Amino acid sequence: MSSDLLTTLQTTADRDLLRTELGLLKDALFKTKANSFADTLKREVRASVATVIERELRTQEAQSEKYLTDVLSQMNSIPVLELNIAFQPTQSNIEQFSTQAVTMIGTPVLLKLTVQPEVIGGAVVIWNGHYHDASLKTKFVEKLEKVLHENF
Amino acid sequence: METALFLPIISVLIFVLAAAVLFLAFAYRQLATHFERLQKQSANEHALALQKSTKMLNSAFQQSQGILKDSEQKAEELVTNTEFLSASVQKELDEKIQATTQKELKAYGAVLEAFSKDVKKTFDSISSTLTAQTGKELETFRQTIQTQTKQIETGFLEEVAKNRQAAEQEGAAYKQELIKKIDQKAPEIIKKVLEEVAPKMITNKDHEELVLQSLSEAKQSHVI
Repeated sequence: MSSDLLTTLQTTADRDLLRTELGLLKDALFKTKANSFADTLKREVRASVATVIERELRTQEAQSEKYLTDVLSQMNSIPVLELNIAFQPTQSNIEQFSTQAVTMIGTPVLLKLTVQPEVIGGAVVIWNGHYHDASLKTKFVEKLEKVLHENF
Repeated sequence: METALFLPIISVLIFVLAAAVLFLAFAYRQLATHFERLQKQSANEHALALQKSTKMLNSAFQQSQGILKDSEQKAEELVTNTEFLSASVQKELDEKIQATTQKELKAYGAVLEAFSKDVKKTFDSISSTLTAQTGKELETFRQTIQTQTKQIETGFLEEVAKNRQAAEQEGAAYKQELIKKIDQKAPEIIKKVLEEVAPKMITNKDHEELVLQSLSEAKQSHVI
């Protein structure tokens, strides 16, 4: 069963942060100190994430270790869509990109966003080793060369 | 016995010796007497010789005095004669010199006059020759200058035309090169300008739309 934690992930940065938090929780399971897991969940993990984990552990009655291992495994299996863009995106922008990407691809994806101002606008899209340069810079250069070639 | 034998011999010998001594004494006395006599004779002869020589010296002195006196007299005469002769010769010499000088002066004057005439003639000749030659050379020089001026003018005009043509060719080549460079650099320049200007002109919403459009194009290209 898929965790609701995965639905909150939109970028590889989100995944990496969650992976760190889940790693801390897994480590806490093997500590001898009493209430170590609960303390870590309370002190080291974001509240929104902690709430989901507490709820899912309670409702699924699953063992903590297995639960964490399953979430980590599912998270690592989400494919990554790389986008090289020209600006620093807001959360709203990321949500828009993620929604459209998931709609187009048909499965959950994580966006790996890299800021490259030289692309001017648009994005260079890389998916499963395939590359598509839809940046404004490339479009402009192609158009410019075409105009120059036609006129000179 | 033996003494008796030698006594006569010794007596004889003594006798002989006594005789010899007596002879020697006599001979010495004779010799001394002769020496004194010779000494007296010599002194007399010496005095006589001295007297003769004194006399001869006096005679010679007197003779020399006379000779000297005669010599001085003759010398004075000679000098007097000489001075007279010298004045006479000087006068004659002066006259001859004067005459000769006048003669030479006349001859010199004649030669000088002839020389002057020759010089004048020569200079006249040189002058006329020079005038003619100078005129001719001036004419040649004028023609040369005229010809060279024309050649320089022609050459200058040709050079100007050549340079102008070269400059025009260089200008055309430079223009072509410049156009080529501009053509080559134009896209790069435009790109740089766009990179500088476009991000400032594109809003966040524009960026979002452009990225969404890129995703759609990737979908259409079957990349995703």
